[in-house]
Amino acid sequence: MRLEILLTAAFFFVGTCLSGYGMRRLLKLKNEGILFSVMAGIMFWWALMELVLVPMTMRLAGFRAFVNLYSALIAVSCAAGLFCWKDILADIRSLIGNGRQYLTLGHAVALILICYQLYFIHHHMYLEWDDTYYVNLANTAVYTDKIYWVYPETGAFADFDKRYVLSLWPIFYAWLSSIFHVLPTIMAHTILPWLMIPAAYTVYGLIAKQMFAENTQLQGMFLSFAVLMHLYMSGEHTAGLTFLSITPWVGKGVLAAVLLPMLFYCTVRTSREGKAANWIFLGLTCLAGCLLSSMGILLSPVFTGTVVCLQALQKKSMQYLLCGAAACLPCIILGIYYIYLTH
Amino acid sequence: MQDFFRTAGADFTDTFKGAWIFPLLILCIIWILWQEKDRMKRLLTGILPLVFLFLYWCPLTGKLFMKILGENVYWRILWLILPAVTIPYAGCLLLGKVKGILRYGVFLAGLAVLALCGKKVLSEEWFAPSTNVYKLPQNVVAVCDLLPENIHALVSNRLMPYIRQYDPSITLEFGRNAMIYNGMEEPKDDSQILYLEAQKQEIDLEILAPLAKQRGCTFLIFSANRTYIGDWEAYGYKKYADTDEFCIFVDEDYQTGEDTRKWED
Repeated sequence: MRLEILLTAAFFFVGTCLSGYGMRRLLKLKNEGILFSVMAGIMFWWALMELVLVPMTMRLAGFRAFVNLYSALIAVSCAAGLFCWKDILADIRSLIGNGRQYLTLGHAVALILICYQLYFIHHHMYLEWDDTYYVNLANTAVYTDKIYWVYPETGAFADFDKRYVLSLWPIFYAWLSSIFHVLPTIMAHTILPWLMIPAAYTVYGLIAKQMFAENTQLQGMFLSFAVLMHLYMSGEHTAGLTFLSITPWVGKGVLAAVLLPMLFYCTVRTSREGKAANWIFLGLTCLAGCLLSSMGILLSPVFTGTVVCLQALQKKSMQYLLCGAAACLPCIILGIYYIYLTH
Repeated sequence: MQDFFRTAGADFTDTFKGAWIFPLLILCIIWILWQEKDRMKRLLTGILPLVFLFLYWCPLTGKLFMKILGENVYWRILWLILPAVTIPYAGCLLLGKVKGILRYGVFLAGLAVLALCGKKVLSEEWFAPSTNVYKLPQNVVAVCDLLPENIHALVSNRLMPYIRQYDPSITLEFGRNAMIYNGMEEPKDDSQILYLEAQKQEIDLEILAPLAKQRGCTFLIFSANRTYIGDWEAYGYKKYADTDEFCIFVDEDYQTGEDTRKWED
């Protein structure tokens, strides 16, 4: 299983990094570093999947057709990233050159805590009652070639459960499963934590960089506090941070642990510099949230909208408010469609 | 109005109980509002969590969210507050005020305070050691290893959530949606009668077996502690295999390798 974990993680992080560089070139975002590229790529992958998956699900397309189309699009985005080899080399050189300043006590503590979390989760299991629906949704897609028109718990044909049809996150790991020929149950429970936990802490690393741009020592300390918060929250299922440890494969967990902090990061960027690229990136992140959970269709615009309203008030800027509304547009459109479907 | 505050109060307590994270969060917000001079940072790390707390407790917005989200998941609004941003940021504001070796001391003390105020998530209370790569209970794996592919089965509720996670080629007679039949006194159709009979400690085969056969359940799997009224063979089933915790019965007409899945191609 170690090989499968290694291969999937390499595919996921290298792939998203390349796509991220492609996206950066398109948005003219320079000198952002490798970690930013990885997170930009992850948001791009999820947003793209939402754009491809919703219409394909509605048109009753087969899972294999989805895998082929989505894989082709991802391959194109990765290939676009390869053309940015000069940027990649520059970032690698800068990382090697400035790497020493990240050798701080805070970074070391954070790294030890993350390794402990991964080790513990790898050797333990948490039985999630809802997996019988979500993980089986992925299993059923791979096994039957049908996206969401088989009731996952029994295998019976069924009409769509309209509550989830716009947020089919399990299809993402079904896609990874079909690439690496691993059962989605194993992909979700054993492999996905190795992708989602580093991704979540990458976001906190990026936030730290924004908040303490000149002080890498404080960046490391911020990161280690943030990691520790995930290990010592209330320990209750309802706390958002807890999800990263107990169910890092569940869409709601990824929403709470990765996407909402990512939205925070994006709003910090738009607050600092209201250029179009930052707003597009925020909109892309909002759209990515819609894939994770139907809750994301609501929580992403509520979070973004609240921050944007507060910032617009502070800046006394109508343009800021309009840009924020535009960033929330994907969620608003899907939200209206969700209400139309469910009422 | 009272209902709203009852739900909001219960969800809030459930989320923060067993730890001192919320009082710590409030202290950190006060510290940020007092110490942070950068307006943008003060807004995002100090004011924003207060606004979300207000939105959560305000009946007007709260009722709207409850209507959209559903009353039973209102607690998810609390996810909008990011304690893993606010608390570390407040901690680093404090650390920024001290220099040298003292900073390391305060940093380590801060880690200790967080660990003491919180409740450990990675504990045996939540997790069990994993014994297989599927991260499913071992008793499920033991049963599934004995079952052939492409069959239709009626299984114990203890197995039902996990069987298809191990082998999606198996179709099940009942999913979690059948649990609404629990406690039903007057079952209305064969499906409800079959489900309720399968839940009994002493199962009457005269009721269960013909219905199971009629509904195409090739394999029946019950907890080993169940007893039966009647003889399985008289109703067209026979013992297939045993595990430590479960007994598996098979339709006598089933032929090895036969595809008996229901509702699938």
